[in-house]
Amino acid sequence: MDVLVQGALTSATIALVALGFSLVYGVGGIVNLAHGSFFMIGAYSAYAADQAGAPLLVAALVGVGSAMLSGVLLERLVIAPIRHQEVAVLIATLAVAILVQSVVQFFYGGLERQLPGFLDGSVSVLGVNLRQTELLAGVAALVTIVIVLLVLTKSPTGRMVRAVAEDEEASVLVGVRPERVTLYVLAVGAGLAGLAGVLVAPYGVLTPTMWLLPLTQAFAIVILGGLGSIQGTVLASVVIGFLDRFVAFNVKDGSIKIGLVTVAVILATLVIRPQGLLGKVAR
Amino acid sequence: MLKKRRALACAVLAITALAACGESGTTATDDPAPGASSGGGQTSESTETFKIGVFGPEQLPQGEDVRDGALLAAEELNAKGEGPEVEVVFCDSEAKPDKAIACITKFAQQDQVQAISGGFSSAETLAVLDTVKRAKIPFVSAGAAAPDIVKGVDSTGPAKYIFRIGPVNSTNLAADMCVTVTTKLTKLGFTKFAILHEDAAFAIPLVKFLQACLASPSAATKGKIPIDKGVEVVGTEKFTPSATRFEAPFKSFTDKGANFVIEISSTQVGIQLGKAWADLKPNFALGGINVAGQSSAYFDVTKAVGQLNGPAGAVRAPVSEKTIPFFDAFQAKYKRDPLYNGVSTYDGIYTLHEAATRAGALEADALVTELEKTDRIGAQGVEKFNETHDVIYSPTDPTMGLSLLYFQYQEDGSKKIVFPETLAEGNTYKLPPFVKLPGK
Amino acid sequence: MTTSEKATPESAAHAKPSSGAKLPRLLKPNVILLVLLPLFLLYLPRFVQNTTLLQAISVATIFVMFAASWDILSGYTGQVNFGHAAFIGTGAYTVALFSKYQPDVSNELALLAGIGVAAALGVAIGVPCLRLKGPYLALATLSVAGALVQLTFIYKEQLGGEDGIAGVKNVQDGAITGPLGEGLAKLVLGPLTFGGQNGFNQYIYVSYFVALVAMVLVVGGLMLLGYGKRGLVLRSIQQDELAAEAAGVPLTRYKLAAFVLSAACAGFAGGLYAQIRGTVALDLLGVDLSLLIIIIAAFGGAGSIIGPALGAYAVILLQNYYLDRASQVFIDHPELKLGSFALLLIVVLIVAPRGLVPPILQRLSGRGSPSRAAGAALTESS
Repeated sequence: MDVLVQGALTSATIALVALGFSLVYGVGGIVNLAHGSFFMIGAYSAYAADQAGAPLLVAALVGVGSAMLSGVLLERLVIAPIRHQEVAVLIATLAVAILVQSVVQFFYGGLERQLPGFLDGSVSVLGVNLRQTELLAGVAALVTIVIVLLVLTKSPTGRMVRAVAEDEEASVLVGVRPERVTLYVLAVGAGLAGLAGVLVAPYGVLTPTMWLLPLTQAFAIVILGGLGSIQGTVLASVVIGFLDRFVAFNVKDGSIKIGLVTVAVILATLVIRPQGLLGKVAR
Repeated sequence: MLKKRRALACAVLAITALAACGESGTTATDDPAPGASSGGGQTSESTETFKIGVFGPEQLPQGEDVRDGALLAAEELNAKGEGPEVEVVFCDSEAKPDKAIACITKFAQQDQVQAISGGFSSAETLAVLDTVKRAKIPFVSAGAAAPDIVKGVDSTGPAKYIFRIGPVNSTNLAADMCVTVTTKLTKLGFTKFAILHEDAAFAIPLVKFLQACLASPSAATKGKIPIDKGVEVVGTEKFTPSATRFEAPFKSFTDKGANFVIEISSTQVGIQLGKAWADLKPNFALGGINVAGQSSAYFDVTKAVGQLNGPAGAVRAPVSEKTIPFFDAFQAKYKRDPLYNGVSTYDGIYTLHEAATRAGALEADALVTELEKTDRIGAQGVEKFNETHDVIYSPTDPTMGLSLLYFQYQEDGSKKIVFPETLAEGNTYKLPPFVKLPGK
Repeated sequence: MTTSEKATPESAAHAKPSSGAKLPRLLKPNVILLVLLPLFLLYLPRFVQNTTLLQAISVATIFVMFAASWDILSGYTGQVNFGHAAFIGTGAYTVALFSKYQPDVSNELALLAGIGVAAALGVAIGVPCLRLKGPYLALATLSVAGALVQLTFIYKEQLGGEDGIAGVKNVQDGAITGPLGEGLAKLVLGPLTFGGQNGFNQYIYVSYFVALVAMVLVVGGLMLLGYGKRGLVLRSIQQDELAAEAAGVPLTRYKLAAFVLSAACAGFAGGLYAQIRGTVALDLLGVDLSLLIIIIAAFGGAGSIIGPALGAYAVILLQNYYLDRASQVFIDHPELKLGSFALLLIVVLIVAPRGLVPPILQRLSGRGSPSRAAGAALTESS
C-alpha cells in the first residue's frame, strides 16, 4: 500500500519533469541535456528567495519564474542558432548543464542546502504515513499535469503545439511559426521542471549536482514511453514512479539501487525497443 | 585546419617554455622538502615557526570545526609563549580523497609544513596516507575513526609518521554502543533493536563489530565486556550520505517490531534522518552516532525531541579538567558548539606542540620519537599512543576504556547528558512522546 | 571511369600503406609535431625545476590519451560518445581493485586486466549502439557512465562510492614502469641529481616519464591507424554510412572495432592514471570528465588524433596550472575552470559556421568522396 500511495505521488512529480523534456523533443526535435538544470534552478531560486526573507509561496513563484526565464534564454541564445545540428545541440546543452552547475557551485558551494518544508508534520493517507510536504507536492504536481494535458488537447494553443509536433512543414503552411512554438514549449517545459524542483526540494537536499538524476529519470521516462509521445510520457512516468518506490521498499537497501534500475530501464528499452512503448519511429 | 593546429601546438610549447624560464614555483634542486630525514635535516631552534598543515571539508560544519579547533589551539599556545610559535595552514579538502591528496602535496611542496593534522572522513584520511609516507611528514590524524588508518604502523617503518589522536576508533565506538544498549537501554524497556547506518568507510567496520557484540558482548570482546546475553536485532539497513527519504527502512523496522533504532552517521545526512523521524513519528526511539546532531543548528531544523546522541565526542561535561574550559573558549570565540573533531584537532595541535617543545627541534624523526612518548591530559581525556600510534584514552570509564557519554534532546532543544549517571546531573532518559513500548 | 580516377591523391593515400614501410602521406606535416613534441617533453625536466608544473604536464599527458582514444571513435566514425569516462573509469577501477584485493599481482598485469575489462565494456556498449545514432547514442553512452557511478554506490564497500578506492600501487613499484621511469629520469637529469631528490620529487619525475612513454605509444599507434587506410574507412562511415556500405565497407566490424579500440586505449590510460595518482574516485567516471574530453577534442579539432592531443595539453595545463596562477578566484573556486571551458565551447559551437563536430576534412580525400575511396581501398589491397 505504501508503494501505491507513494508511487502515485512520485509519479506525478517526475512526470512534471519528463513532460517538459518530451514536449521539447516532440515539437522542436531537440534533446535538451540541460533540462535537469531547470529543475535545479527552480529549487535554488526558491531557496535564494527564502533566504532573502520572502514568504514560501513567493519563493515558489520565484523558483518557477526563474526556471522559465532560463528556458527562454536557453532557447534564444543557444538552441535557436544551432537548431538543426543534432550533435551540436547535444554537446551545447550538456555544456550548459555543466556551466550552470559551476555557477551554482560558485555561489552556494558544494554544501547541501535545505529548503524548509511548506508544511511540517505527517498525515495518514489510506493507512500510509506521509509527510505533509510530500502529499502537497504530489497533489500540486498532479493538478498541474492535468491542466497541461487539458491545454494541450483542448485549447487552440495546444492544437498549435500538436500541429508542429505532428508535422512541422505542414504546420508552417497553415500559418504556425514553429520557432515561436518551440520557444513557448521550452519555456513551459522549463517552468514545469522548475516547479518540480520547488516542490521536491523540501524533502530533499539542494546540491550543485542535483540536475543529473532528474535528467536521467526524464530520459528513462521519455525513452520508455517513446520520444515524442505525450501519452507515452505519462504512462512511463507512472511505471517509473511505481518502480522507484517498489524498489525502495522491497529491495534490500533499495534506495541506493534506484539509480541503477532507472539506467537499466533506459538501456533495456534502447536495445529491445528503441521507440519505446508508444513512440513514433525515430526521426 | 592544419595551420590552426600548428599554431595551437606552437602556443602550447611556447607557454611551457616561458614557464621554464620565469617560474618561481617550488624548485626541485634547492631545499628538499623539510621532514626528509636524509642527511642532516634542518636544525631548528625553538624560535623557528612550527608550521602545521590542517585539512578538512571547510564548507561543512565538520571541516569548519577542524579548522577552528586548530586555530583556537594555536592562538592559546602562542599566547602562552612556551615552545615554538605555531602557524596553522588550512586547506579545504571537501572530504574528497583526491582533493585531500592535493592538500598534502601542497603542504609538502609549497607550504613546507613540519607536521600535519586534521582530516574528517575516513575515506580522505586513508587516501592521504601514501602521500604522507612519501613526504615523510608527521601526521596526527584527528577526525577519522577507521581502524585501517594505523594498519601497519610501527616505530621504525615507513608508516611511523602516522598517528591518530582521535576519535575513538570504530571498534571502540561499537563496543561503547554495545555496552550502552545491553546495560542501559534494555533496563529502560527496549526489547527489539535495529541498525540504520551511513554507507561510509568508518561505519562499515563499526557495524560489523556492533552486530557481533550485540549478539553476545562477551564473546565478541573476548570477555572484556562481562555480559553474556545479547539483544535481538531485527534488521540492519544502510543509506547513502545523500539520502533524503527514510520511509522504506522505517517501515521495514516497524513491521518487524523494533522499538529502538541505532543510527550511525557522520555527515549532514544525519539532519535528514532526524527530520524524517520527527516528522513521521514511527513507533521507535532513535539514538546513536549522529555527528550532525552535535551541532547547534541541528534541533532548529529537525525538532527531534527525544533523540539520543552518543557516544558523544563533544559534550560540555567534565570528561577531563580541560574539557569545559575548551568548550567555553570555543563557544566564546566562535559562538557555536564544537563537534567532536573540533575537540580532537584541538588536542592534536597541542600534542604536536608539546612533542616539538620536548624535542627542541622540528625535524620529522625527532617529532616522531617525542610523539610516541605522549602522555597527557587533553580535552578528550587522558591521551597516550599505543605501539601502532593509535590513541588510548579513557575519559570516564577507565576499566573499559570507553566514554559511555550520551545526551538527549529535550523539548526546548537543549542537550542534557543522560548517561553516565555520574555526569547526568539528575537528568534521565525520557521516552520520545510518540513511542509506546510493549507492556506499558 | 575508375582508371582515371585512380590517379588521384586518394589513391596515393591508399597505395602507400600497402607498400609497407612508407608512412601514410598525411602523417608528414604532423611528423614534426609527432617527433619534436615528445623530444621536447623528454628533455624539459632538465631545464624546468618546477615540479608542480611537471606534475601538471604529467596529468595533461594522460589526458592526451583520453582525448585521442575518444577521437578514434567519435571524431573518426562519428559515433559521438558522451560517456567516455566509462572506459577510463573502468580501467582505473580495475587496477585499483587489484591493488585492493590482490596486491601481489604486478602493476603491469593489473594494467593489462584494466585494458581487458575496458575493451570488454567497449564490446558490451558497442554492440547495442550499432543501431543507435545522435540523441539515442548520446543518451545511451551517458547512461552507461551513470550506471557505473551507481554501481560504485551499490557496492560501496568494494568500489568505494563517493570515497573511491585509495592505496593503488604506484608506478614506482611496477616491475616495468618503475625502472623505465627511473631510468629515463636518470638519463635526462643525471643519476646524481635524481638520486639527490627527496621522495616526493622522485615520484613526480618517474610518473612524468612513464606517462610520456605511454602517451607516445598510444598516440603514435592511433595516428598510424588514423592517417592510414583504415582511418579513411572509419572516416567514411561518418561521412555517409550508406555509401560506405554500398562501397563494400563492413560497417559492423569497423564500428565495433572503433568502440573496442577506443575503450582499450582509454582503459589503459585510466589504469595508468590510477597508478600515478594512487587513488580512483568518481571524478574518473562522471559526466564532468566526459564533457571535458569533448571540450578538449572540439577545441583541438576532432577527427585528427593530433588535434585532441594538443587540445589536451592546452586545456589541462590551463586547468591544472596556469589558471591557478592567473587568479586566486580559480584556486578558491575550481569549478569555474570547467565552467569557463563549457562556456567557451558553447560560444564556439554557436558562432562557428559549420560547427566543430563533425569535422569535414576535404583535403584528405581530394576529389571524390571518402566513402568511395574507402571502398576502393578495401577492395584493392589486402
